[in-house]
Amino acid sequence: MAASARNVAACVRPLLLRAAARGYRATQAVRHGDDHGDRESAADVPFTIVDRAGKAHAVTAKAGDNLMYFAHKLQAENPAIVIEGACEASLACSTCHVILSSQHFDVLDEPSEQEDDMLDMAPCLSATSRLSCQIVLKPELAGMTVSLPKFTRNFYVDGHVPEPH
Amino acid sequence: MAPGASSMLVRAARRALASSAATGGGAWRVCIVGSGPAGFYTADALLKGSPDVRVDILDRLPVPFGLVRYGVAPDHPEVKNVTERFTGIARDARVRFAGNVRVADGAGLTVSVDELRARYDAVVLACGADGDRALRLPGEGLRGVSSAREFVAWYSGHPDCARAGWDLSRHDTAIVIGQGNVALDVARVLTKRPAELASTDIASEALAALERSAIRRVIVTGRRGPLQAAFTTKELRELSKLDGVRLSVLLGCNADAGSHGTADDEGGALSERALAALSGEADRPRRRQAELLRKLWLESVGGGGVARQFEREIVLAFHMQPVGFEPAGVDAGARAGNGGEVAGELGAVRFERTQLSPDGRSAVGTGEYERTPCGYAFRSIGYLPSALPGVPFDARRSLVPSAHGRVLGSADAAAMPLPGLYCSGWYKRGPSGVVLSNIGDGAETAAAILADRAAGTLGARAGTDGAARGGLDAEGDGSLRALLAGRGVRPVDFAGWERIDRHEREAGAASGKRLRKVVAVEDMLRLAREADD
Ligand SMILES: Cc1cc2nc3c(=O)[nH]c(=O)nc-3n(C[C@H](O)[C@H](O)[C@H](O)COP(=O)(O)OP(=O)(O)OC[C@H]3O[C@@H](n4cnc5c(N)ncnc54)[C@H](O)[C@@H]3O)c2cc1C
Ligand code: FES
Repeated sequence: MAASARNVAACVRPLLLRAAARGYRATQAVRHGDDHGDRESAADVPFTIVDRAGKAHAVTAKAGDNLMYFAHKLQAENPAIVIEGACEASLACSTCHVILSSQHFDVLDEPSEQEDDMLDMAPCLSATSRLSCQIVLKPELAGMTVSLPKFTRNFYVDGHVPEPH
Repeated sequence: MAPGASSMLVRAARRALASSAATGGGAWRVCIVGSGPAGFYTADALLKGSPDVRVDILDRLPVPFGLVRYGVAPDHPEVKNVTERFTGIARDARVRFAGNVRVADGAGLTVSVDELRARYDAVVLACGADGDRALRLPGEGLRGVSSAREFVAWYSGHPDCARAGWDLSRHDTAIVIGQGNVALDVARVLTKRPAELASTDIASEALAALERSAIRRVIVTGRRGPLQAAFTTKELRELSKLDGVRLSVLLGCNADAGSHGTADDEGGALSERALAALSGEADRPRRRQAELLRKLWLESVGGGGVARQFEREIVLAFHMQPVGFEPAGVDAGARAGNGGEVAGELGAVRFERTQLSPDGRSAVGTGEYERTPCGYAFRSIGYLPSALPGVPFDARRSLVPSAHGRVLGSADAAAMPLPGLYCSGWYKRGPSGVVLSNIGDGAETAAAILADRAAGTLGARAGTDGAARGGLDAEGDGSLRALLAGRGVRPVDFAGWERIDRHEREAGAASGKRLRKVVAVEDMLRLAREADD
């Protein structure tokens, strides 16, 4: 689905929150792009991560890096860059949800049906949302912006309605 | 500054001093009751927010992780990967785990919330929801009617339900009442080929019962229409792809007669036009779900889809409100007049057909009734948090009254927070949401605690006599450790749990399973202590 076809949703729409609140579930492990052999010789991919408080961090990864695992490595030095990754890249949790700049979203292959099903449970779903554990960085992604959704800050202040399971 | 404010500041400063004197350095203590996702994510946020916090996590079971161990389905092992994260948190030097410690009224082998509040700067109730919502319908006590929660706990090897046992070999039809993800879990476990479950961590007794199962059809009923169902697309899609299982979607028609109806019967809930109306960005999850339901419905009525061989069938039936359970072997005449309590074994569920109210929020009865024969019925209409002695409880909402994670003095709108008492996870917001929901939730509760500490309003511990202080690792007579020892409670620490875990993995490897759960509490305790006795 092209990014332009879906307008960016405002974060924390009660509807999306409700969708997220009633969900859960999973399928098999998909892990790629982590710790590949020739990392040193791979091209640099500079980009920006906007943390949950809205602060921008300039970072540089290597082509072939998995976006989520790369962010995990940054966290030691930069505690504001927190991507949870609860299911270890198995497409079973959506805690690794990020929002990409739209021109870079379009550079990536379309998310799988499985990834879209998981994204449908993510708070703050937007037109350019992806699960970072499914993204392998490549040179064309240089300059992109990866925003961490702000759900940890306002998940519960804005119209969350619990529904029975 | 107002006169009152300055003395408040002085008091706050004195309290802060008192607590740092009691624990040495600037350390302060939080006790978390419950070691499920909410407990661990709250701990994580506290550890990140304060270098000098000490966190003790208690659980009534000897083993941690709550519903990740005892709710998340055995065939969803990836979801359980989150325990790796929790293990990392538990291994932080500032964290202690004590399993086999039940928080209740303080009698027998339990400890009370008040006793905890006297020993900690803050107490967080993260004890989940371990009760059942009942339908309160005639015949609900019949043999064969049970709650999805108990069934899930049984196949997950929860010690409380080890002896429950289901003989699934007697009848061919089961009804699941409710259409959340738990309902779909139950339907999936009942229909999946047992061979596919054999390598999971499913309880051996449950696997054996499933191998003998006579169930061929599981009807999952909802009161409202397809667009109101609480399950998620992910879980629905999985049901539609089970080997040897046919998934049928019925739009408000007689499940027994097997008629499928048309989308237009139901005000076109799944009509092309209705789907097109879900075009807004915020509708995306609902639209994708409606598209999948429409596809499945078209396949059910024969318009497309591949003819497949199947051994079992799952039926999703909408617009069906249960009104009563009928015993087996009662003739129609006797049934009609019987409004009172009935004994014996389940023979059928009576439903009233419904329509959506104009605002789409509720189901309104149409006065048309139908009777669906079945031998098993599982209520899957929600888990309920239980009241704890010493903690206000809003019985009407079945929830602890709280605001932003602070437990309030009563359910009254104007009620004030109780100093030093907090809640998180399902105990705070009721039984909904995914593991992920507990991250934001834990962060909110931790933020409230950190803010109250900064403001000097934690205060529970400092308000009591100085003797009663300290947690699981404190030496003093007044510590929780001493209190538990005095009552004969023998906590299981994280190393003890890791011994149980190692045993389960080894036993699993030996029998071709992911792990083989230890079910009896006595066995858990024995394994946990093997090294230190
Ligand atoms: C059947 C089922 C399947 C699910 N599947 C998924 C899934 O696939 N994916 C997903 O993301 N989410 C799933 N969920 C949701 C997820 O499990 C919950 O969101 C989450 O577990 C709630 O966390 P919690 O910590 O609030 O409660 P719990 O996980 O219930 O933890 C509460 C803990 O408190 C302890 N406790 C209770 N009372 C006391 C007491 N008096 N004293 C001491 N300790 C006590 C309990 O033993 C337990 O360990 C599922 C839920 C259910 C019911
Ligand atoms: S880490 Fe769970 S979906 Fe990406």
